[in-house]
Amino acid sequence: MAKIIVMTSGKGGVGKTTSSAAFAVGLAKRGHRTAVIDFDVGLRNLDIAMGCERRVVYDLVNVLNGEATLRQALIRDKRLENLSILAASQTRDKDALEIEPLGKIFDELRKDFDYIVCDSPAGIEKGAVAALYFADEAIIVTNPEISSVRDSDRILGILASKSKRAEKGEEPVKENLLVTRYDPLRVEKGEMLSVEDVQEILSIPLLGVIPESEAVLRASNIGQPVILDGDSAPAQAYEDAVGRFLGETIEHRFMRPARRGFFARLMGRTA
Amino acid sequence: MSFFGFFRKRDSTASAAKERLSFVLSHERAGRDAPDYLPRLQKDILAAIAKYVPIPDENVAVRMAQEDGTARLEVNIDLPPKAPLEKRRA
Repeated sequence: MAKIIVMTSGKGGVGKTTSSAAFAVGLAKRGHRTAVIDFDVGLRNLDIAMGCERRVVYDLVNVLNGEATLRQALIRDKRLENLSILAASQTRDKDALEIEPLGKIFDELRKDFDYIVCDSPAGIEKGAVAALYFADEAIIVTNPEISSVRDSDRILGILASKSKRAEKGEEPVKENLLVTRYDPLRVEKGEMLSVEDVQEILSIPLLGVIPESEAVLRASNIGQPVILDGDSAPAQAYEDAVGRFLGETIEHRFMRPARRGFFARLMGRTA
Repeated sequence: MSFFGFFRKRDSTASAAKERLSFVLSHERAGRDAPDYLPRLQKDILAAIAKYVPIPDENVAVRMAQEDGTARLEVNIDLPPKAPLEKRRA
């Protein structure tokens, strides 16, 4: 049975697209047939994160309007044969996303894929609601920062009231917390909300902590999802999170600062 | 934690963030399932009170609470403290 995952946050710029790309690649690497869909109509960027921006011919809105078939619009990833990308339209607006035709697309996708990752736009308007409507599970991407946590709380409320599962009175959408851009050193200095604080406030299960890292921008620059940057901390953190999502028991990492020398610790300097 | 960090932690900005966050969320969560007419009701109640005693907007809180299948409307009004007796006589 195919599973639909929404990567959502309410707030923009917290790492939804980075996480969607990483998760989709992580799932595909483990052999699951995976599709990742950009719901950010008008501001598409998943194609950039996946490095397939030159291969976009048809997009989600084309499929919704019957101007292309799903098969024509799905872009096969060049690195992983069981991974496909569906781009958002860059020229239309978010109101193009109607629930009913979207449902038909999901019915079709369910036949060919094990996991369908929906990269939500920021906000709580139509586009964001469309992205979460069909979800079985939600990954709430949150930065350890007040406005991000507040917006995550808001989107949790919307998941609980406006998703298909909520409307039909079915089992609620399963919620997972992914804390991104985490800086354990700043947390230790009392300059940043800790993951424990964020989890306590949102009270949803913690899926993973992705440390703040230069590797994320490097990955974006070259269109290679950061999870493929094997040695980097975010790659390992995403791998762990994907493993946990699939039910593996993996201890959390990257929540404490890397060990530093005595002198550096005494002065409290960043390594 | 570093030697200097120990002193910094006391008034850490992170704990201020947590406190502010807890405050806004406790209000927003209360209003999440509230009916759409609640803000208008609050405005009308405020207008009615203002006819008798001037109070600032934030002194009136209207919220809906759900308990065991019954909905309860809570109206909390902070009235200004009474002026001392002598002054009132004057």
